[in-house]
Parts: sequence; C-alpha cells; structure tokens
Amino acid sequence: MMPSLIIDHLSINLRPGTDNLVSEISFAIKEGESLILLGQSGSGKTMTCSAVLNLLDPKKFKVSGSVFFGETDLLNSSEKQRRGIYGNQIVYIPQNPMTALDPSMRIGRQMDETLRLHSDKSRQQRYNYILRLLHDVGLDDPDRVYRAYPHMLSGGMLQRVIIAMAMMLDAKFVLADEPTTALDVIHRNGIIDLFSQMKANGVGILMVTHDFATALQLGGNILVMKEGKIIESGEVQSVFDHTTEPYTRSLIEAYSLSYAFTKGAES
Amino acid sequence: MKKYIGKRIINFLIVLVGVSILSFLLIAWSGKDPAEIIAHRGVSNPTPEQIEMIRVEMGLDQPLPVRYIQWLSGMFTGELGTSLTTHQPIVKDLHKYLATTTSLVGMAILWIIVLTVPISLLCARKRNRLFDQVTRGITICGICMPTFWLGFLLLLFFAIHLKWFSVLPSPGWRGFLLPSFALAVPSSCSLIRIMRSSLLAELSSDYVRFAKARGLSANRILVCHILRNALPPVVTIFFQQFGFLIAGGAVIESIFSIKGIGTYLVDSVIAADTIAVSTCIVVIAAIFVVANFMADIINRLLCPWMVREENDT
Repeated sequence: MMPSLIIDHLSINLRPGTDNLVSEISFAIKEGESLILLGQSGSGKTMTCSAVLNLLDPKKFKVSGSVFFGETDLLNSSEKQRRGIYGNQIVYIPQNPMTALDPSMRIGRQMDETLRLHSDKSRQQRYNYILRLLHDVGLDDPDRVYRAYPHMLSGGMLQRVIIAMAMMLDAKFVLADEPTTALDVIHRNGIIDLFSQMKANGVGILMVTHDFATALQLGGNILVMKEGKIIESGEVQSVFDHTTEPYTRSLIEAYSLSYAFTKGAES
Repeated sequence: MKKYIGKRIINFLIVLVGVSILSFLLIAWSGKDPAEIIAHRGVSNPTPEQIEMIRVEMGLDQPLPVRYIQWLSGMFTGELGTSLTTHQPIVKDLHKYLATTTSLVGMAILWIIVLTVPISLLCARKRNRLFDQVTRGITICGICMPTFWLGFLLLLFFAIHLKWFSVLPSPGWRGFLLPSFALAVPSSCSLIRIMRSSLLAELSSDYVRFAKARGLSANRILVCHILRNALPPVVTIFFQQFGFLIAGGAVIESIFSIKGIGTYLVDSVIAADTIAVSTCIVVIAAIFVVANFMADIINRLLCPWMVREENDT
C-alpha cells in the first residue's frame, strides 16, 4: 500500500484559553499528488503545517485529532520514531530560506549533517551526492555553494539549496510553507518547476500559500482556509473558474491584480 | 581582514598613548613629591639640599614632557630605574609579578569556561526545571558576593577545616587552585546568566525550527548549532571582564598572600613610586585592549556573517 498522509479532525487551541486556531480540519494526500492550502495570513494554514510536523510547543498549543503517516500516528509516536521520519520521509521547506539555515555553518556541512543522520553512505559518497544534487536543482557552481555560508548566497539560491535538501533522502511527502513568498517572480517559476519535478517523481506535496498564481502553477487539489476552517475544496482550476465563495474570489482578484501588473510590466 | 587588523592596531596604539599620558599626568599632579619621599627613606630628617640632590639625580627637575619622553623610551629599552618597594629594577619586578598574575588569571579563565559553558547549556536544556531554578539562585548569590569574602570562606573551609590546601601559598599550580576559583566565581555567575538567555533567544530562531524538522535531536541542535550562534555576546562580555579579573586579582592576591601585579601596584601607590605605578597602569591597559581585540577576532571566527553586517553599515 502506498503510504499517505492523513489528517483527521485536526484542531489546535491556544493554551491557556479556548481560542480555536484551527478547528476540525481533515484531508489526505497520496504520493505523487499535490494539495494546496490557500488562505490569508492568520487563517491557520501555517499552524496546520507546523502541527503535521510536530513543531508546535506542547506547552503553548493543544493539538487534538490525528495525523497519520502510513501506519504511524505522528502525534502520538516516540521522539526517536519521529526523528526517523521527519527530515527523511516527510521533509519541510520553510518560508524564509534566508533564515532557515544556521548562519554560522557552511551549507555543505548542514546538508551533510542531515544526510548522515538518515543514511549510511560514506563521507566521500555523501560529498559527491550532495554536489550532484546541488547541480540538479540548478546551482551552477556546486562546490562553491557547498563551501559557502548562508549569507553569501541569494534567497533564490538558498531556496534551491533547501529543495536539494528535501530531495536528498527518499522523501514521500514535502511540506512547503510559502516557499515562494520571499522570492521574486523569476525565481518563483524556477522553484515551482522543481516542485512539479518532485511531484512527477512520486512525492506528495502539501503547499501552504496565499498566492493563487503559485497554486495554479502547481495544480492538484486545493483547500481554502479561513479563520481555521476549510471553507472550500476541489481541483485548483475548477475552484478558480467556478468559485462562489466571496473569500476565495477576493484571493483570486488579488492574484489577477498582481498578474495584470506583471503582464503590464512585461509588455 | 588585513585592513581590519591594521585599523585595530592603530587604534591600539592611540589608546596606549592616551593611557600613558593620562596616567603620567595624574600621578605627576597628585601633589606628592617623590624626591622628598625617597629622601625620607634614606635619612630620617633630610635637608632641602639633600632632597634637591635626589631630585636632580632622578631627573625630576626636568619639565614634564621631557620626563614623559624619558619614561616612554625607558619602557622600550627596559631602563625604568629601581622600584622603591622591592629595590629591584622595575622591569624585572613587572616581569616576575606579571607572570604570577597571568597564571592566576589564566587559571581563573579555565575555571570560568569549565563552569559557564556546561552549566548554561544544561540550564537552557532544562529551562524552568529544578536545575535551572537552583542555578538561578546560586548565580545571583555569586554575583552579589564580594570576592574577598568568598576568598576568606574558601580559605576557612578548604584550608583550615578540611586542610586540603595550606593557608600560605604552596608552590606550583596547586597554590592557584583556590584563589583562581574565588576570582572566577563572580564572572562565571554573571556569564551563566548571560549565556543562558543568549541560548534561549536563539532557541526560537527559524534555523532551529528547520533543524528540528530535519530530524536532528534537541541535544545536537543545542551543541552544534545554537551554542555557536549564542556565543558572541558571551565572548564580548567575557573579555571585558578581563580587566576586572586583573583588578579583582589585587584583592584575591592579598587574601591568599600571592605576590602579583595587583599587590605590586597597590604597594607602589602607597610608596608613591610614580614610575612603577604608571608603568603598571599602561601594562594593564594594554592587556585590556588586547583582550577586547581578541574578543572581536574570536567572534568573527565564530560567526562569519558578522563581517558582512559590519560592511553593510
């Protein structure tokens, strides 16, 4: 059976208090599929992503419901079990590539650190493999990138590094939290292409975004979130064409506006 | 980097010249007449002629700028005359006492590192748990406690009750064990507080979140990633305390009967040995400036991105 990521009645509450940040959302992703969580900032999409990754501080947030990866209940598994899954089979692509890496460690070492943790390749094998990956994601001088500190690279290059890290192991699912927000349009297209490539290779993708353009480019299914609830779902193109929800409409209009701007700038 | 080091060396020289002029003038204008004091040592009731003779002999009749230049060139040639307290050449004295103080302060630094780094890491790892709470209490006491009192308590307990050490300094590194510890405690206590909060501040950074998502263990993230990024403020303050270590050394030296630069400076001040005092001040200032420079270099090596931020501004 192909493992899938099943989120069932996931709710997140702020502790103390009863503020519902995310309430009772359910969805599933299979390998090779993509699902987009669309919503404004504050709609709970990043929260959902963090809950799936087990990154929420249990002292501050109460997470209920369940998150299943294949047979494993990620919310109730041991730390050791989780460490074998996160970074290996479920990988995370953070919002801001400029701050996601340790600023005082060379990029190559950070990649190597993750690889060593999840595989038993030799040092030389790991080095060659990392260089090849960096080349594959479109970085021209892999050796220089390997030796660089994060501050020496641009945002677009760093996002490619992070995607290379995601492709490094045998990831079944990629959770990307606004992976294109910090980038300009030209880099954005290149990054979405890499995501499509991963999808074609059988990786399931959960992408959080507020940008309809990104959603349309990646395709697949979409969940529209508002105030912690899913208000609409369906195939991206059909939601784009036929939505009746005013909230979704406003997000599409925001997209059309920026699209018109870039089109105008191009012509 | 080369340009930076060059700039720092020029800075260093400016500070040293400033300190030397200041200390020289302050002592020259302190109102004490060294010639008279020296004369009093030789004879119980010197005549004005005798005092005048000594003044001429020591060059004290020369105008201030000339004396300053003489003193400065003396520092380079090593001819600073004899000390009024030990009757040895001042350069030889400095050499000897500085070596003692260096061992004392060096050992205190070892103590500081051994105490600060593991305890802060543990506090950050177990924050708000029992270990952290107890450490908080102890460090606050340690910061408040005067060094001389701590020194006496240590002597009382370890030398008199337990008899593990002798009250008078024993030769070799053993003699420095207690005094360096007493010297290290206040510094480490404040450094533990600083390092703990610096570590905790890093804990909420994006790179920690991403490292967790990559499957790294909490301990590995703390030691391999957070520690290094949390060190710069600790290193800066550590080296700033260097000056206080040498100054605090004077108190500790007198309690533990160690002859170091601190006690030498105090004795020289009492004896109005102007040359010895101002030379000591310049030497201590030089150590202080070099320590700050070291802090900068170490931080640059630890966090390469700092170099860029500086270039940006």
